Amino acid sequence: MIQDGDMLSRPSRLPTAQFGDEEVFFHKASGEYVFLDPVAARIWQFLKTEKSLAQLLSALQSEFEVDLETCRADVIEFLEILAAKNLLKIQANVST
Amino acid sequence: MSVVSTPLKGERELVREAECVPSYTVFGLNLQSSIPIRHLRPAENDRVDVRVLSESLELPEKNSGNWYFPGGEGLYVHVPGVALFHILADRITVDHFTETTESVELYLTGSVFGALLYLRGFIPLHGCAVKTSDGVATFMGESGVGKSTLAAAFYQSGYQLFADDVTAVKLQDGRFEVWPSPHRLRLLPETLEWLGIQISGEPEVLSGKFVLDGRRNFSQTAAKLTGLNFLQRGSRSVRRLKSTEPMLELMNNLYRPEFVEALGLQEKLFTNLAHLARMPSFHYQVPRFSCPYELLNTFVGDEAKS
Repeated sequence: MIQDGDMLSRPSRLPTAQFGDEEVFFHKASGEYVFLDPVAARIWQFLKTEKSLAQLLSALQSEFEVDLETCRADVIEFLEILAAKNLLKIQANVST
Repeated sequence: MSVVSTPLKGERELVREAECVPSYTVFGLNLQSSIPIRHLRPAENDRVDVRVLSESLELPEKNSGNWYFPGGEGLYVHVPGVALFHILADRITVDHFTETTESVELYLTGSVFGALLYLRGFIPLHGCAVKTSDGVATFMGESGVGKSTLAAAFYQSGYQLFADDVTAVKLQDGRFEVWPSPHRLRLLPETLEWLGIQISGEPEVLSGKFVLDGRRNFSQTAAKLTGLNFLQRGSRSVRRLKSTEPMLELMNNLYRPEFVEALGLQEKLFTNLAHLARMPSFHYQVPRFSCPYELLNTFVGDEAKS
């Protein structure tokens, strides 16, 4: 389970195309074209630079009208999909 | 004094061989083929881009067991009882198991040309293409939605066609161009009847379709692609696609998309598709049993408006 203090980032240099507020990228390892809706695309953009889960949730809450618990549940669900595809680097916070 | 130049024996044989082998043009490529292929224009110059050879091939021991598999920087297509094809960017080898040239030609100008298009950097779209006042429009959609019928309606109404079933698109100098496919229309008997087209001869054994020679009204040159239209069954409506929708639709309307992975071309295709998906794209819902000429007017009407 991803914790608030865990540092998260995504792989760089993936062939990506942006269409308005949506994105598509090519995931070489699986040979898949991955489509991201506006919220997923925003998370994906935030993860370009390393962030803690808490920082990510706070950034999203400033842009989307959503309560913290719903935001956390949806984001973690998405992050776990990314992690399963080897598309998320998770650095556990050793201090917690 | 006269000087007579006598070519060496080998050269003479080569000259004779070149004279006997017909050369065609399709998708802007010159094909020199030892197998006669119908519905292709004769080449206008001596350049040879692709050689089509009739030779025996060994089925590689290591293969996926699928009807297609990669091999030697290209693709094998295995059609039991018909032929084994090996497709490279500049050579197609055909080992045919039947003397029925019709079925060999059907696969050669279908799946095999599809693989060749990918290898030559084209995007083969499953749909027809027609010249409109501001460029070429393609019409794609699931099987049975009426792409070929629409192509035939355009053809009968005097529009210039680029393809009836597989449209060859290529990015060149920053713009997408459509190159002419074989000049034929493959139509079911009921479609011919509906369109009021009389045709003599027998239908294809494998598909039951009649093949109409479309040379009279097929383009001979490439032209700029200006619109992507995706047809769907439904109540009559039009909607412009937005965001990633055109990209998704394009992926769903590639011809033989299974070849892309086998050829290792996913990343290159991704870049091309992401570019192509910026083009004006529309969803057309068309009712079942729409009159093809009426359907055509829907698009021509739009064209007049633009």
